[in-house]
Amino acid sequence: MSSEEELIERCKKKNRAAQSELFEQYKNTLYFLSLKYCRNQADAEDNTQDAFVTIFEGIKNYKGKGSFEGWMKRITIYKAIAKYKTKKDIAMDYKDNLLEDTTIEENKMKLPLEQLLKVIQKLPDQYRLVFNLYQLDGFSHKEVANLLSISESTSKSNYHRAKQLLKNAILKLENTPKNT
Amino acid sequence: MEHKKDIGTLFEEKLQNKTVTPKNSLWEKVDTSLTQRAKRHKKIYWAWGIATGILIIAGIFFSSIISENYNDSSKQPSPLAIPIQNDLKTHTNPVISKTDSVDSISKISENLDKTTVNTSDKKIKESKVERVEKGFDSFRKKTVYRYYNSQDGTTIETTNKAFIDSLIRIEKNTIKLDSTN
Repeated sequence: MSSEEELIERCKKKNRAAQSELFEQYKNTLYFLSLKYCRNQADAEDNTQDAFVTIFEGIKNYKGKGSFEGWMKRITIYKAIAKYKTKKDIAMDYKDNLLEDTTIEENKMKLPLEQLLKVIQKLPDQYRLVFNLYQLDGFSHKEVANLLSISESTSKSNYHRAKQLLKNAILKLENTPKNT
Repeated sequence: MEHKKDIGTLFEEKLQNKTVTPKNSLWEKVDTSLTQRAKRHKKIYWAWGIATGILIIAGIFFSSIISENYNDSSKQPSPLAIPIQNDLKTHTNPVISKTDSVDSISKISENLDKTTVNTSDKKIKESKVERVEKGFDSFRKKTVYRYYNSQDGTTIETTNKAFIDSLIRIEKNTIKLDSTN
């Protein structure tokens, strides 16, 4: 039995020391994931907390199929989705959106991680969720549509709109004087 | 000219394999939350346990009452075999008990026959009385059926409704026979 499997088994027995160990091991990954999906740092902390509580309470259901980290990440993502998912379907004609250029010079992206996260966090909830799910976490538009209860074309349109907003935000940051 | 790239791809590259350390207080929050939920779960389990226990006890209690009542009713003799007080006519408010003699059933039939000769103002009343008897078995509910014949002031009390029904049937038949005669 590997050390991780052993740790999981101990967590299944609700051993608090094992839970603390697991938390230490994955807190940074799951907190960073929450930072991408949430509006701000406070929400990200709450989401990470909720995710860990759900992980520890649901760990008995983890049967060892697939990566454990992946399973924990999915829980964290689903928590964030539950927090921000709206029934409002912000549909747009994504073919029109495609006409807009979403490319940018690489050197303009030389921003600190904190700033890049803030740019993502400022996106409207649904755009942020779609962008994260599709672009950063590799979900297909079909999966995104299912998760957010929207149509596939809405997912595509939201994704392109999110990229336009990100580009505008980055260009705006670029034009802002650095000393202010 | 600077090389351009899709902004989505650039974000993906920039954020890949990055992590951020949360505040130290986060574990304390998780720990508190887990403790609180464990306490809540314990309370829920206790409540469920108690509720289940009560249900089981109540189930056993009521099933024993039902089976006892069933046994009581099955022990009762058929309406025709029910012993009836000998001196129905002499008592102002005679009550037929289970212990009365068997052969008096013919008398009550006879009595009913007699009363039904002049049926114009005869009133038969059947009423239901529910008594809660406290005792060793505590709070047992018993339904007593009362048959009242206003003609001769006869009152019959029994827990066996079939017996009352049979009396009414006998009487109805008698009325029919009288009318045909």
